This record gives sequence, C-alpha cells and structure tokens, in this order.
Amino acid sequence: MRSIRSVALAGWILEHLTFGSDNEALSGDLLEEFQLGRSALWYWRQAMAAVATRGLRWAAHGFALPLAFSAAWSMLYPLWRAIEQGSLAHATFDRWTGLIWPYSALVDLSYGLIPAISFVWLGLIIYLLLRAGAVNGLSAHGLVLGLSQSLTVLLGATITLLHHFKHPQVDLASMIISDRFYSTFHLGNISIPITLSLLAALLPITPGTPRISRRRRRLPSLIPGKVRRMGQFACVLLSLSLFTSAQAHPSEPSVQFVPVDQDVRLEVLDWGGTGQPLVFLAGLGNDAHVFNTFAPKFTANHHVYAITRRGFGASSKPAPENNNYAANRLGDDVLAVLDALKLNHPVLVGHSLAGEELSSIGSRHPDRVAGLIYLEAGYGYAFYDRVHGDPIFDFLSLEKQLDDFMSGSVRDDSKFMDDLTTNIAQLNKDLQEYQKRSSSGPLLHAPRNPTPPIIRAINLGKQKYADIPVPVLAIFACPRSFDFDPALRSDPKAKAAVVADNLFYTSRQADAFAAGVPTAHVVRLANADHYIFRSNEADVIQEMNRFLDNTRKP
Amino acid sequence: MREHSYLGEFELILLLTILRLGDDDAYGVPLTRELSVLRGKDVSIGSVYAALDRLELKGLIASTLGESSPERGGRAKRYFRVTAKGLRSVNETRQVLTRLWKALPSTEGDPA
Repeated sequence: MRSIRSVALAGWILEHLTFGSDNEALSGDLLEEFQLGRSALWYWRQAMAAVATRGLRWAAHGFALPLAFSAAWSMLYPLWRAIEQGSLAHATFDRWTGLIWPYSALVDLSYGLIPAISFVWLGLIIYLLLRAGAVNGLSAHGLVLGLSQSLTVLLGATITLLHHFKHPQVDLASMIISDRFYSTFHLGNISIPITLSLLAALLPITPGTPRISRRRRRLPSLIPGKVRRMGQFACVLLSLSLFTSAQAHPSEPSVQFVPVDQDVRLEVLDWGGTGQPLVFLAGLGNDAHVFNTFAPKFTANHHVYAITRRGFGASSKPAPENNNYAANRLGDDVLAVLDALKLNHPVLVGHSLAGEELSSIGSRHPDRVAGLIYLEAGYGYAFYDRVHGDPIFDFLSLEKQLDDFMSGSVRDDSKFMDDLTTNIAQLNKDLQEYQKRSSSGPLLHAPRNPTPPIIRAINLGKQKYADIPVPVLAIFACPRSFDFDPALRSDPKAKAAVVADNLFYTSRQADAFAAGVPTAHVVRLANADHYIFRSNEADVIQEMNRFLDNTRKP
Repeated sequence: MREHSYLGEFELILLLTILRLGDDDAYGVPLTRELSVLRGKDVSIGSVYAALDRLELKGLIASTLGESSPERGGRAKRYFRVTAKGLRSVNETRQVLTRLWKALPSTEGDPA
C-alpha cells in the first residue's frame, strides 16, 4: 500500500474545511484511486477542485438563508433598542453614569453593546427554533463557537464603524469618554454590525459549514416536534409583542432635530405631557438621554423636553472656531429651540455645565423664561462670586484683556491699565488661596490626556454671569459624595480631607449664589452625587414640584 | 399540463451511467471512470459529487453508505441508485430529445 503521507493534508482539508455535505465518501474515492496508482499531484488537484466546487455551491445556496434572516432580524433592532432603553438598560446602567473615567467609559460601552449582544443572541435562539430540523448538528461547542464569533464580529464591526463615522474634530477617545455618540445613536441606527454578528453566530450551525470535529453526520433534531412547534408559535408572539410594546412604550420620547445655526441641528427629545413647558439641558459630556428616566416624571403637569448641546450625542458637531462653543452661543442655541418649538415661558432645568446656558439666558433674556432650575449647576460657570473670585474665570478675563491689547482694540489706555491691575490682583489673590488650599497636594492638575477640541472650546468659552433676575431653584450637593471614587475608598483620611474641602467651597458657592441672586431658593443636599437627580431623586422631585407650583401661579 | 424538469446533459449522462453500473457498483470511483471514458476526457470527482448532490436534492437518485475498506483509509463508499422519479425523468427527457432529433437534417458523410 502506498504511503498516504504525501496527500494527508489535502485529505484533511477536504474532510474538515470544505463547505457542503459529507465528504467522507469523496475522500475515500480519491484515496482508493491514489492507492491504485494515481499521482499525489492528481490527488491534490482533485481535492482542491472539490473544495472549490463545494465552496461555490454552498455560497450560492447555504449562505443565502442565514444572510437573509440576519438582515431581516437586524431591522427589528430599533424596536429592541426602544424597549430596553425605556426599561432594561436604564434600570441597570443609570445609577452608574456618575462614575469617573475610566469606569464611565466601560459603562457607556456596556450600555451600547449589551443590548446589541442580547439582541443577536435572541436572534440565534429564534433561528434555532425556526430551523430546528435543519441545523448542522446542534451541539454545545457549536453554540459557544457561534456566540464567540458573533461577539468578536460585533466588536470588530463596532470599532470599524466608530472609526468610519468619527468627526474630524472629535477623536475616538473623547467620543467614548465624553458622550454616547456611538452607543446611543450609531449602533442604534446601523444594522450592519448586527447583521454580521448574527451571521457569524448562525454559520457554525448552517448545513454545509466546515466543522473541525470527528463526528460529521447530521444529528436528528434535539428538540421534539411538539416543543419546536410551540417555540415557533412563541417566536411569532415575541416578534408581535416586540413591535407592539415598542409602539406603546410610554416613557420613550420622540426625537426631532431642530436647526439652531448654520449647519447646526440639535437633538430634542419630547416626552409629551400637558401644561407649562419644562426643558431639560444636559451636563458636559452627556446628551439629552441622560434624563430618560427622570424627565418623564413631570409629564403630569408639564410638556417635557430635553436638548442635546451642540458637539455631543446626536446633535451636530461643528468644528470649534470663532467662539462657536462660547456660553452665550450655547444659550442662543437653547433660545433657538424655544423659538422653533414655540415654547413660551418655559422653565429650564440644567444639570452641571448646563448652568452656563441657564445663566446666559436668565441674565440676557429674563423675560423669555418662567424660571431656572440648577441641578448641581450653580458653580462658577453659572454664577461668578465677585467676593472670592475664581482662578479659572479670572485667568480667562486676563487672557481676554491681553488679547484685546495685542490686537489693538483697546481704546481707553487708562481704563485698560486700571482693569488690568485689578484683574492681576484678583488672580494673584485666587492663586494664593489655591496654594494654601492645596498644601497637601496640587488641586489643579494638568490634563493627563489632550483635552478634546470641543471640550477645550467650551472651557475657553466660559463667561462670567452675576445678574440673574428670574425665579431660580438651585440645588447643590453639599458636600458631594465621593463614595464612587476608587482612589478614596481605601483611604478614609484622604476622603475626609476631600469631603471637608468640598463642603467648604460648595457651601461658599451656595452662599454666594443665594446672596447674589435674590430670587433664588438654594437647597443643599448632603452626601449627594453630582448626578443629584439620580442619587437623591425623591428630594429633587419634591423641590422641583414645589418650585414649579409657584412659577405656575399668576 | 404537467410541468416537466428536463435534465441537463451532464445530469442525464450521470443518471444513465448509474443505471448502467447497477446498484452494486455505482459509487464515486467507477462512476468517474465511466464518465471519463464516455466523454473522452478526465472528469473531476468533485464535479461528479456536486452533480450527484444536486440530483439527490431533486429526488432523482438516492444514496446509501456502504462498507469501508483499508485502501480507502477506512472511509465508507457512497452507493447511488436511480429512484422511480429519476427513471421517469430520464424517459421524459429521452422522448423530448428523440422528437427533436427526428427534425435534425442529415449532413454529408452521415451513415445512411
């Protein structure tokens, strides 16, 4: 008998890596011919021709159904997304949103990917039930292989799309860190990763797919006919309920895009409701969806909206230039939305940095709003404490003065010198205080990573607001909770120092706000998170309702 | 009128070859050899199996796994037989071709 070593590899490829039906007989025929005198070259040629023929045939027939099913299933993803966004995901992820970087990025990625993964795996289960009699020998390792492949493909496709869609002015890291650019928008609207992922899960169980195992015969279905029929019926019911519940979900907002500037459109969410308009504005790095759980709680007495700031989420992201991210520009964007939607005298609710939009509108157009609610938003960017100053704002003022001087726009030299002297003295005082405060370590850190251009533009575009003549509710976390900071969790002494420092300066800012804005009702909630509408939801709702009741009274 | 699915040239030859070899000999090796002789050129075993799979899917042939032998590395033979449907299809194709051949004009040198 001739040695089969020279053709062993070709035989293995033919038996294990060939698409199509069982190749045992074909392989045996080739071996028989080889033993009867055919050359190794002939064997190789025949084996490779068989591999190619089967591959083409499988691509034309066996591939079509899984591909069609994957593409069709991916069309249902927006419905799945709509359901889980209102209930599953937020119940799980919302309480973690306040985590610091890098944990925040993990939350955002999980927020986007887990619904996608669960959707793909649900598709696989449904396919198995519908095609139970025709799968390629259902086995545990086949399923694990399929699910692993699908996860890998999903991650690969996600990263590819992320690179493809990234804005030239926004780098990948900043998108992942600072907003949910991909996880809530692109992934929710693009079915390509879903299709590819589900296809990758289906291929190992598709008849004709190569299988690296010794058992190659098709197994009878592991699922009895009666159970299979019940499963098929359940699939139909599930698809129908997916559709109907997505249509009827009460807390799912409608989304529209409102033009506010040339080539700039903002994402506006609308939860409906009747009564005085209530408009939520998100903090830095968040989009309007951060209020998905909180905002609907006010629809009984208000028509509730939320706006995503330019540069974030699904809103337009113009390249930073000509102060197009300055505080007043961002405030004007909000006014443009109010105009477009014809919202008269709304109450604006801002979280964190949105305080600067509130103050921009409240100080320049107090007649446009019925009230302003600052949720952990009454800091330096919203109210400048003239008594104690603020190193960042005083530095920005000084920088602007020098810029005016260098550009030749100073008209009154004497006034310029007086202002410059005052600003330098104030900045000097700020820095001395900072130095004293940071005796145990510097409080001002240089950024560890380059600041993304849009966030840099927003930081440089902060303005001083001190005169806000409208009804105001300002809620401060005083002191703020640092329970989630992993660096402080294991060091009680350092944590106590940070809490004491925060209590001192937050109290001082709250005092200054109360003194400088006589129309403000200032509330302090101890040990609350910066996302105060989550950590202290009941308290915040109670305070807001009390304030809103008063603003509605004639 | 009943719908017919007439056979292609290679499929017809393959079915006839299986019939000619009989149930005991119609597996890959003799089938490929016979086809190579009939067509006067080497036929790839892969293309023969592709056609056999197609015919089996149509229900024109059926296959069973037979015995294995040492020269085949312990791999079983796959025997093919023509089903009743396959036989009917061969006959129908023959009738159609016969009618068409009757209209074929004779050329010089054709046997009388």
